Amino acid sequence: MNAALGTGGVIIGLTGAIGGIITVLMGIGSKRPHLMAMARTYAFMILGGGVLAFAAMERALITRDFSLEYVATHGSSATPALYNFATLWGALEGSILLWSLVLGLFTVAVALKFRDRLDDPLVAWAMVVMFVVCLFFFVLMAWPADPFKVLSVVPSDGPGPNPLLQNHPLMAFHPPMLYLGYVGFTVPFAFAIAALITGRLGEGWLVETRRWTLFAWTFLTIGIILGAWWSHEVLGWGGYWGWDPVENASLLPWITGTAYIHSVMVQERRGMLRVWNLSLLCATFALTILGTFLTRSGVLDSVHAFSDSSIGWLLLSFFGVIVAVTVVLVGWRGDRLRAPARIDSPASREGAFLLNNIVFAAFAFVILLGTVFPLISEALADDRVTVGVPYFERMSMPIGMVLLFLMAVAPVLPWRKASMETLATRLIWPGWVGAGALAFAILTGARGFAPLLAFFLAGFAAGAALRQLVLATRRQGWRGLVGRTNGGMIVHLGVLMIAVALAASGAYQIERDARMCVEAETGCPSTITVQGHEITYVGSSENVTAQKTEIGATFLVDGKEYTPALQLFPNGSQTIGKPTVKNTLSSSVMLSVTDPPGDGTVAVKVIVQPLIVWLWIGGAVMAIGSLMAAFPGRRRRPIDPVSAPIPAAGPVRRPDEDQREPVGAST
Amino acid sequence: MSDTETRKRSAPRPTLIAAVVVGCVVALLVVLLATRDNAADSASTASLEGKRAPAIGGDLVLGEPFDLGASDRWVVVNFFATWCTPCRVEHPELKAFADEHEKLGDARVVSVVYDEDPDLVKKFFEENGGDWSVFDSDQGRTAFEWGVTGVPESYLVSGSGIVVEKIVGGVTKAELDAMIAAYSGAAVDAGAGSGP
Amino acid sequence: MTRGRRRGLWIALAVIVVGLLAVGVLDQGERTDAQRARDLEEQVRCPQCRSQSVAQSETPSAKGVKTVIRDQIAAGRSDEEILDYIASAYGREVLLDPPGSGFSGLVWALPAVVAIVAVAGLVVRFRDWRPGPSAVVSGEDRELVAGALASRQQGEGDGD
Repeated sequence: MNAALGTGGVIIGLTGAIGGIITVLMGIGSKRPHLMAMARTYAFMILGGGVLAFAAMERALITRDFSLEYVATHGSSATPALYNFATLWGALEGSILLWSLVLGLFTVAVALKFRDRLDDPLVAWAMVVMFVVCLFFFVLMAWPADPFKVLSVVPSDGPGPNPLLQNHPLMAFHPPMLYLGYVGFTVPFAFAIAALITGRLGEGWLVETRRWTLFAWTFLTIGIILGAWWSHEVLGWGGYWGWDPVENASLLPWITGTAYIHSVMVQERRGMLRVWNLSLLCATFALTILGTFLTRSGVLDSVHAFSDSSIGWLLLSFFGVIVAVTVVLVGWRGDRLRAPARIDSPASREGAFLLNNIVFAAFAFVILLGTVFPLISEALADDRVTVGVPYFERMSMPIGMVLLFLMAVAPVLPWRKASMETLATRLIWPGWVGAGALAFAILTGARGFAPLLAFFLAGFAAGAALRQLVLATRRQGWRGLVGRTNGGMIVHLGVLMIAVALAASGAYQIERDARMCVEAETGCPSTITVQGHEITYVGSSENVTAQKTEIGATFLVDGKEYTPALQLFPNGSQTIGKPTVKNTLSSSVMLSVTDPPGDGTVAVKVIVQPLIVWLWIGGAVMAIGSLMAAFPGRRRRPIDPVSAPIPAAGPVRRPDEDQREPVGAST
Repeated sequence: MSDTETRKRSAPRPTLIAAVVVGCVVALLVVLLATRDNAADSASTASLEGKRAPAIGGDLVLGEPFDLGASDRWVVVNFFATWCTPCRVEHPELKAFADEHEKLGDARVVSVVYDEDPDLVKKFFEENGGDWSVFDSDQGRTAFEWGVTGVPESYLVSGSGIVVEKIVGGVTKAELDAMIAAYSGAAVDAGAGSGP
Repeated sequence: MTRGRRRGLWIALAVIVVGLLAVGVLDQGERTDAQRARDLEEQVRCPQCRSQSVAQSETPSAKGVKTVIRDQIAAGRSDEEILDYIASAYGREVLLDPPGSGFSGLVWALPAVVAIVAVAGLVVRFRDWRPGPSAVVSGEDRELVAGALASRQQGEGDGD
């Protein structure tokens, strides 16, 4: 029943995708609008198929239908409801299913948003690209990664999902967020390809897809932050980012997407960098597929990887096709797209964006190189090396510093050309904010060149962002917090919180392993003090449920009770630690039990990290900021002035202060 | 990777050139990725095989003191823990092997505890039999020297103290017998074994 | 703000920032053995794991490596000696930092080459970008702009 429903859904989706491609292509070929307009019907068909398949799989999971291989290998009757629901995206086949569903949603959303323009060849081609991507994922589900395989012998129960995936609720939300981000980039990609095919590279399609890109980027950001949060809460070593291939795979499209969000403004303002922006969009989408390949095919070692490699070659081929199509189209069209405009001066907003893009491109290059280098080295030099955290940290630190510096300078730069005098005037107060941050850090005991430089630059950049927000709100009230520039500054503030938290928690983490007793004896205290936090061992407890056995050790951390535990899942032979984290704004205390407690004694690892919560707060601020940036301000009218103000133009107020602000007017 | 695209204005069709370059690089990457094996299948490059066996430094838990390379027998050095299921499975095999070769006098078994309280091991041997020498893990030092990454893992060491074979996972008596037979046959050429 | 006063503020800022950074760099305590051990642990992959470092892992093989690192520090070995020793037991691939020599030196060199090429390319291009002749705004232009601005509705959207 469930298998039949699900397979039916897959077939419907598959048919919809194929039908959509053929019909719309015929419509484009014969210039028949009604054929192109049928894209909407096919989009709904794909979504319907996706929903049906998703519902069938959830139904199978909830009703514990172990006749499905997927349920039998990843579900169990003891799994609690939330994790049982989330099991759908806990393994390879299910994650493809979720991907297809989200893709169906986006396809329908595009079809609805552009319902009046489906017969426009640009939109029609974009729909074709969307359908092709849908086709690919439904083909994966129909054949190599079929989630609805039926077992001939039905087991009475299953092992349940990986224990690590069922001990924190965040795991239920992190993958869907990530997928909304990954899949969301399909939309701008589709429009980029459509623009290349039709040769209509005016700014029109950019304005159309700007919010889609921002939407995808926001969800990708949230997904990455949630993943980091999950790692921190669950893995128990105080880390949140391990430069693991899977994590890198999610960071790569984020980097190129971020570069795009910046450089696209240059195109809108000055009509430049068209080819570059198209390439960034295509690269972002291609990197989501490459990332999926790297993490799903098993070519790279990773803690997160699903080791099934049967779909690896398909993903790799798809990646190859995407890159080939992009390269051919860009090579064919690219040289005709040259913008007439030129950058007047490196010391201008567009110059800063260009530099920003080069730094981001270098960042993406370094991460991609580091991620695949073990493969390159083994293939070409027969030399097995590991490229791990120290490499990525060493390489990304200078890049991060340059980015922080750009975040300080770029927001005060006007378009076209800035004089030194303008810069010196606008940057002096942000500079003092940075100095204040540095002095505060020194006073609180922070030492070491790299973290202190990061604090200074972050303060500097925060000053620049706040300056923009203060000037904008002073002039426009609450509207000074929305719109691209102002929302962007809020995102910057979020990024800066994260940067400071990264620098501080990395450099000033304190770790202590201790054996503690309920009754203190020599060599076994009952209370220890780590970094001013008092930790007292109270006793242990055992909690047995059908899902797992949990052996907890209760501690008082600064008077508040926490019970980190060791968990034993009946099916897995491994013991999973379940750490606890006490968060305050200034520091976090993590406790993890390292040896099963017994006889009134326990071995515990205490990790105190400063400013950890600001990672998550910063992530939230970034999400809010990008909402603000997407807030529908009024579109710039073609006759609005875009560059230097013309003094005689009368008293019309231009809201964008960078264009208005007279040089040297900070008083 | 594609950051060259916006530059180079002087050339006639710079974008085309950049696109071709990017395309070639990515094509190479795809070929490279397509021809790779699964990473999980690859083994460590640091192999003890053919090298002198490291010392076993931990305290003696059970049996008699024992010195590697100072006997003329084959030695199976077995890393194990009682919390590991395959280790418990292979125990009877090791026992059969040890009993038989004790009589033949050509091989013996030595076990090294892997990350476990030695008392639990004593209890395990009491319950399940086996009377060969067992050494404590020495806080993981011994396993480090041997390059052990997980249990069970066993090493076949020749009488002169050279490691000839590393076996990852559980062993069977038949497997060990076959190995010893093979190496004893080739012992003269290899100069490693000194079987009976 | 006058020019002179602004220059004074910038000089003061530079002095303070450099001074504070100097304090932050010079006033660091000696690196303790525990910190050294921790740094080394972060550079070694846990032998039985896929990508976690020894520092992040409580697996038996990671514990063994930790013990050995502490032994070696106590024996007075240098960081390189300790890492080489670990590599001799578990293979070069357990070191998370790729070596700087041989083929894997490329992983260090390539980003530097790319960065230099990118910056050089940018510099060359910025040289080409001489500002065009600044437009002379005629009275006619001003009228055109004023007319256009007046013709559109008042009340403003946000800047983008």
